[in-house]
Amino acid sequence: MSNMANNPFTESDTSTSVATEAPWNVIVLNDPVNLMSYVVLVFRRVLGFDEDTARKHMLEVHEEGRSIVWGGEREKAENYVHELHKWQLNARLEHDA
Amino acid sequence: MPKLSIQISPHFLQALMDVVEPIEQRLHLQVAISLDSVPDDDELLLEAWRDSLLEQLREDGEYLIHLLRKMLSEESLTLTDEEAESTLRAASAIRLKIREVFLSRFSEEALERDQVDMARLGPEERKPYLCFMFLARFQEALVAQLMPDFYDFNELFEEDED
Repeated sequence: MSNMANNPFTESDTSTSVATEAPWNVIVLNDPVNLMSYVVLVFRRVLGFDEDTARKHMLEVHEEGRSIVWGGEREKAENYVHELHKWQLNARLEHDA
Repeated sequence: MPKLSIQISPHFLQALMDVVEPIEQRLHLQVAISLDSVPDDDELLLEAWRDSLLEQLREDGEYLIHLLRKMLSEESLTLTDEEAESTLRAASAIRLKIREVFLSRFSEEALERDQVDMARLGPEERKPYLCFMFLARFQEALVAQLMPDFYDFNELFEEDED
């Protein structure tokens, strides 16, 4: 299983991140290929969601075309997008300006 | 640990391989998803991002090919969770490519709801579509084993149709 520890974008020291910066959002977009059940599994594996949360976000993606699945500091958001890409989900990063 | 019983004819497996193998090879060089959303204009970052995805794709794709070949000789397959997850990722990548290369003329809705009429498929589309559907059912079976407390997703489709 892929994991964050093998991610080349992970840095060991994040102590310099600016706490007051507007959050970066991880967005997952709908696609006609990935199965609903698969998306729930990916959300659980990558983002650590429980089943209810994973299902809620999956349905949001399916019905509204997108869902914000995480928000916070940029570096961690990039890691999540990268992991979601490894699982072939259409994920992107957006700055909540 | 996912365990699946699969009976597959050599003829059908060959049809699958005719589609999967060339795509798997292509995925050694080209990712299946769009990288337009990679969050930086930095070329080095983009390259590292792509290389990391390709490395994962190679690993996942090779395992899927190995597993498909194994289906000919073994009726029962036992996978570790990691192997099942690798198979799931590879199946997704290959389905994305099949859609892009062979099935792009069909609407998102038709593909999402499995509403492609086989009779409307051209000869060059039939094998890719069968492969697309086979890999989807294979993914469903694996997900059901990985999440035993899984929801009844048929219920969701019924809600959609109301």
